[in-house]
Amino acid sequence: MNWDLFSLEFLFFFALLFLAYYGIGRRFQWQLLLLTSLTFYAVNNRWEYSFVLASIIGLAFFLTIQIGSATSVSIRRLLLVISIVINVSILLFFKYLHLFQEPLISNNTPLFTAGAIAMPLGLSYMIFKVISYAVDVYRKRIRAEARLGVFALYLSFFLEVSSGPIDRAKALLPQVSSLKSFSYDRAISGLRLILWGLFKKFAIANNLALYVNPVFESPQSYNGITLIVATYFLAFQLYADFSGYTDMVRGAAQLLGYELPQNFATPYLSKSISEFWTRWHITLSTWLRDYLFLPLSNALSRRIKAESLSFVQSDVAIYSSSAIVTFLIAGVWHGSAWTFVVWGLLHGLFLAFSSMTRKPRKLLRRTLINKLGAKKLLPVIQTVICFHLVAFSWIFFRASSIDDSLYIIENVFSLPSDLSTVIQDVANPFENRNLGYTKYLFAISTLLVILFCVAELMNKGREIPKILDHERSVIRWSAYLILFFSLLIFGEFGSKSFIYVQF
Amino acid sequence: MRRFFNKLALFLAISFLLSILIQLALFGAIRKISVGDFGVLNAISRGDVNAEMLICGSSRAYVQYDPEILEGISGLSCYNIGINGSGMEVQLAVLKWYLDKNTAPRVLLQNIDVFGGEKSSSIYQPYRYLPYLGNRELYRGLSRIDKKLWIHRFLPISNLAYFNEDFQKGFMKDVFADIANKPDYLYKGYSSRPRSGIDRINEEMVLKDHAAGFHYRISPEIQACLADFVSLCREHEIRPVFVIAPEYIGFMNMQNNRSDMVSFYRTFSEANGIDLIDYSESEICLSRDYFYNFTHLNAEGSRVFSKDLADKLVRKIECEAR
Repeated sequence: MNWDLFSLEFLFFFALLFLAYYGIGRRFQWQLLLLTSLTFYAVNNRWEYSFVLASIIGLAFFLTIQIGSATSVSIRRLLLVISIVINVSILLFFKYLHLFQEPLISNNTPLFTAGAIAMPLGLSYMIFKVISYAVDVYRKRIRAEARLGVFALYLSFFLEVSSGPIDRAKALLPQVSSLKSFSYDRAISGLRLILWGLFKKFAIANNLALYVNPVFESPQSYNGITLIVATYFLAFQLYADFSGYTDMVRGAAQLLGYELPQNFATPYLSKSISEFWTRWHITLSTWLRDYLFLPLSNALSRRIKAESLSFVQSDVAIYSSSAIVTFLIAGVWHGSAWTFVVWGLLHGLFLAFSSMTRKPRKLLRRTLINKLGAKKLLPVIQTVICFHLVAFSWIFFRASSIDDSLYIIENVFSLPSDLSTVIQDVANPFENRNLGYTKYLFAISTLLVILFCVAELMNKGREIPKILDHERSVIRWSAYLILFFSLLIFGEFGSKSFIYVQF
Repeated sequence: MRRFFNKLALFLAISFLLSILIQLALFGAIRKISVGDFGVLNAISRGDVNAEMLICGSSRAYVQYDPEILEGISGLSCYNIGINGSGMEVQLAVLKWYLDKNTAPRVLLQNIDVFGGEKSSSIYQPYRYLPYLGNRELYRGLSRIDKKLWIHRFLPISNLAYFNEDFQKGFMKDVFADIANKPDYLYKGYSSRPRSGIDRINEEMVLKDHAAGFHYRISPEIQACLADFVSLCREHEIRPVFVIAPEYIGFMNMQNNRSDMVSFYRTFSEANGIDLIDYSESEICLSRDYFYNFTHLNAEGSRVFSKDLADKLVRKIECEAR
């Protein structure tokens, strides 16, 4: 049995939960959510994995209580190390066990081939939560939660468990404990987010997937122009899929009285890679920053003296090496394939390069503004460059192997000579492959992407559904209905799974 | 909370009403189409076909049996109700619908797909039938395959998600062709495919992907369909003719138990007094130039096949008359 988040079955179940949640009385709300979360976990996993969940919750609860109550710093530190080691080991066991089951790799992607043990749903996200919680208790930023049930709900909250957002204990635990009364405004805001998320997932991401998936599954079968289009489409597919998922989760949480953190803030309008990582998968990137990058940088800065590096400034060296290590780990976290390693390495190198070239770039920027008067054009150029660097890195993120990634990169500029072939290869490269793809579908997908871009451009950083807050009811209702009917008419409902669930 | 539910109910009610209006407008527009696939379905629905010779079957019927040639040689008015992507169950449902609205044909050419013996798990391009689900015969036949069809009959809002891009594209193509008075791309339901022969790369790909070949069977559901088909023909005094149309030799060689399948249909035909015309040994099967893929003849192949089939039918009828 499997409940896909936001399948029809799930929406029906959620409607019942909503009624029960506000019907049973506020004192029992979190208990109901805990029961729901554990049931959700059980039906979406092999039954044995309930013991894994119970062990993670029990151990984390016990250790953090001990961390919180221990008076000796060394014991607190020891308990923290034990907690981190155990949880990382559990993650490594499930995620990378195949390494020890199959012979190590050739140059072809899978770093390890699929093993017999499947990864429990949402394990990565849960481990991230456990580690940040333990560290925060150790640093005395929060107090250890004394109620096992509340803590269990924090870790297993069914809306967050499969793909995040990776909520911090400081933000979520107080919400779990507080009694929720129904708020009309919050519920309406939640429904809006769900509608917008459904539109992004089913109307945009799923339509783009029909083009992207066949191309990335066998790129050798396609021409350069098709590879280019698929690469651009991929960038928007990933964004619409994951941000759509997050919107739906946040919207559903709002209906239950919870406020989950925003995970995306118009990331493709970033002017640099470092800015991009403050706008893309924000809860993951801030987690990496707080629990990996900063501790690593601090540790390095204690060991590297300012004058010890003659060829490069020590702060640049520390920043660059920390960024590379952090993103390498982020890459490996995404999956056991070399493609993810390269993707992470690329982002680490982008950040290192931007740190190393900060001064000359500043000079260039000043020259462009002062001598060429490119003050307005410059941010556009920066955004375009940043988008293309990110889109380039997505090739490795999505391709099945390093060979496929390199093939795509080598062949993107091999364009057919005549215009009719170009048009054919852009609009429907699958005509002879019996995939049912049509030029009409291409036109619809392109149009939806353009509309999506326009909406993003108009609402820099703000959440799109919030634009409607101050509009007249006629406009609001028209927008809801147009979005709803566009979703029904243009939505591609074949696939209900989300890309980030696999991580 | 009451305010919330009131608003939600209002939204759903407006959506429901809008979807009814949209559906009424769409179905109204579809029923006016006189060209293409919808043109054929509308002709069936209005009872305008009334052919003396009727062609039934899947895409092989749709693209291979040229009514112009068949009626030219046989002298019988001919119409093709072959439906792309349809299995035997859908073909039977459409035939019953046809007989409900039109006079029964004298001769019924039923194309037999040797590889079509499995029960249909879904209806291909189901949106095509939605405007006509009011017909009991069609609805009953189709809902045997798709148990959720009742939702689409009675809940218009669900149809909007059912009308996928194929529908939107096909609908617009037909509507615009109709408005612009463009010539029909189908001739009496027949779709000619003027494409070149089988692409060698495609052929190699199929051979590689299915190196072990294919093994077929005839499911009890399809056997029941065949029995139903026979009794339907008897009831309406129709002379059925089974036709196993040409397939490319390369593909036939991949069918491990093709002879078993053919002999099943032969035995069934003999037992029920049905004529069977089998093209498995035909020279048409040897030429890649007659096909646009392994199982579909192109326009040239279709012309040769239709002419040969018409000749065979005429000879058969003349023989019997003597």
